[in-house]
Amino acid sequence: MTNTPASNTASRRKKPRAEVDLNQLVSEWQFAKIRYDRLSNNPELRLEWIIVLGLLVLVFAPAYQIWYRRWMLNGSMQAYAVFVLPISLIWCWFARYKLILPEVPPIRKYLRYERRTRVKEKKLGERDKTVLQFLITEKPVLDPRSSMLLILAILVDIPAFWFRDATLLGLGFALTVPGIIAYRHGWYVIQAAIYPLLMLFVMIPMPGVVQDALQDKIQPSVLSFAQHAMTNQGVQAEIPLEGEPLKITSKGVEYRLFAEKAGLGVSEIVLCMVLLVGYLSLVRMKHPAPKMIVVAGSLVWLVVLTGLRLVFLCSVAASDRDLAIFMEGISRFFLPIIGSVGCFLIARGLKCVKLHRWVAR
Amino acid sequence: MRQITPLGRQIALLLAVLLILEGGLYASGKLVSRSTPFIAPPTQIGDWKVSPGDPPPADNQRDYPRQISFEYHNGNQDPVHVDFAQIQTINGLRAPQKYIADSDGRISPLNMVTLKHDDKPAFSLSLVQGVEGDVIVVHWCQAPGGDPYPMARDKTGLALKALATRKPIYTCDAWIPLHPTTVGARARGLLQQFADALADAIKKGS
Repeated sequence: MTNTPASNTASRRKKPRAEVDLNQLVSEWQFAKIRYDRLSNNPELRLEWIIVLGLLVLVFAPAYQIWYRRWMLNGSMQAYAVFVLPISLIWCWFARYKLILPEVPPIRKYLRYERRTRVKEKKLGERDKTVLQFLITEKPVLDPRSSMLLILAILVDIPAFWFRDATLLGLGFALTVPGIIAYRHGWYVIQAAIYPLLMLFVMIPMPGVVQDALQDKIQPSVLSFAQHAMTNQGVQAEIPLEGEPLKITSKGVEYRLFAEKAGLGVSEIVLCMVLLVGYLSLVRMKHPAPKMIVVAGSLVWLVVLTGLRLVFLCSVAASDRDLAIFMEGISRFFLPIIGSVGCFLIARGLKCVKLHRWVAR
Repeated sequence: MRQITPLGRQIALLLAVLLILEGGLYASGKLVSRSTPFIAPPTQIGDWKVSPGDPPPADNQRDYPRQISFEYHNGNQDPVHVDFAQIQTINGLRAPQKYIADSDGRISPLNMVTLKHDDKPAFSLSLVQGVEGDVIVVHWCQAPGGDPYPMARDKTGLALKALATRKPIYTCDAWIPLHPTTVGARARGLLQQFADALADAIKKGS
């Protein structure tokens, strides 16, 4: 019931580097770097990682094929999911010191508690213990491990393998990964890696019937926004009773905007939000309020941008139908790029730019 | 020899068991599905004769189910396309407009009626408008030996039970392309005739 193996034990690497005097360290993140070097040079741990990751890939590779097919379906709202795993892995790389030293928040909490409940007065010149001193001098912090999540994951995996349904398999994967981490490394690592672990749930393929129901709710409002904008510009725009396409008639030429062919932009919005939340989780702020404002503001910006894209397409169609058809794909490609730049500018405007000390660069 | 920690060994063992279990369940699922042969289509419906056909164009929207597709020909008339697909995933419950024409297919509420079979609501007849073209389709769900019903979502419990037990429930579609010259009443009569004959064939199990 301890942390990762050999957390505070002697190094087993083949070519030992010059020993670092721990008393010379000034930050717990320097300590994290030393622990990271020590663990990454541990051949037993490396072997364990290779075996476990290899088996995990083998178990879920057939499922990934099914998910990929589902994400990339024409009109899918989840095309962003293709990028979720790479984004999560990049995040883990940036946050590797935080992941390697997950006991910092509980130690900090413990020290704060100790300071508040102190009975004896401090001696003259005596200083409060820091997290770094605690890490160097005290025994490794006990990290509560749990098999509960792993059992739950197995209970989902078995029917998922039988049904071979993308959604159930996705749920199984999203539970198995944190289940293994909670069983092997404990809850502190789960807390430290909450962003990539939550992202696993975001990439679970939605059942087609749920997606259809969602689309039936979103599509009319998005298309009618574009229709009203075009009518205000004096262009003839109409939506038939069945909900689509949005028909733009200008100079005797008709352009039909189909929601799934042109894309409503939902997937692009979610991709920008995934990137933004990942970035904000690396940003250091004393209060969470500015981050919340950035998220809310970015969401509004992305929704407006998506609507503007459709209005832009319709405006182009009013003068050149073929160019509008060509622009459907191009504008869809640029949507997440322009969206992300806008989100970053909003974050910058609210001074959400200073990264945590544990972010490895 | 290098050794991994006992916890690492336990996790590796668990994943290995999951891998074997996955392979076993996949193989047994395939065996169970294949042990129930598909319903053979009637060789003739009226003057229409059967020949092999293509599945619906946007079949990926329902995860490429196990299916048989065929066409009925009668002289120079447009063929009637027929498809029986086994519901194997939750996506198999999707409505026909999502796969029969293309993924942008849509149905106006005014262009959808329910047809009866043995005085019970059995088939849903609709005009599906796609990006490239429109089709008139009659859609229903039916288990071998059972009665037809218009939509899979009408009896979701039954469909989910079939998914769990791998017993076949078919989503059936019979469709013809819509042309400016197509006479609605004639198309409706033709598709009703096909739906009745095919539903009877599924009920008899042949």
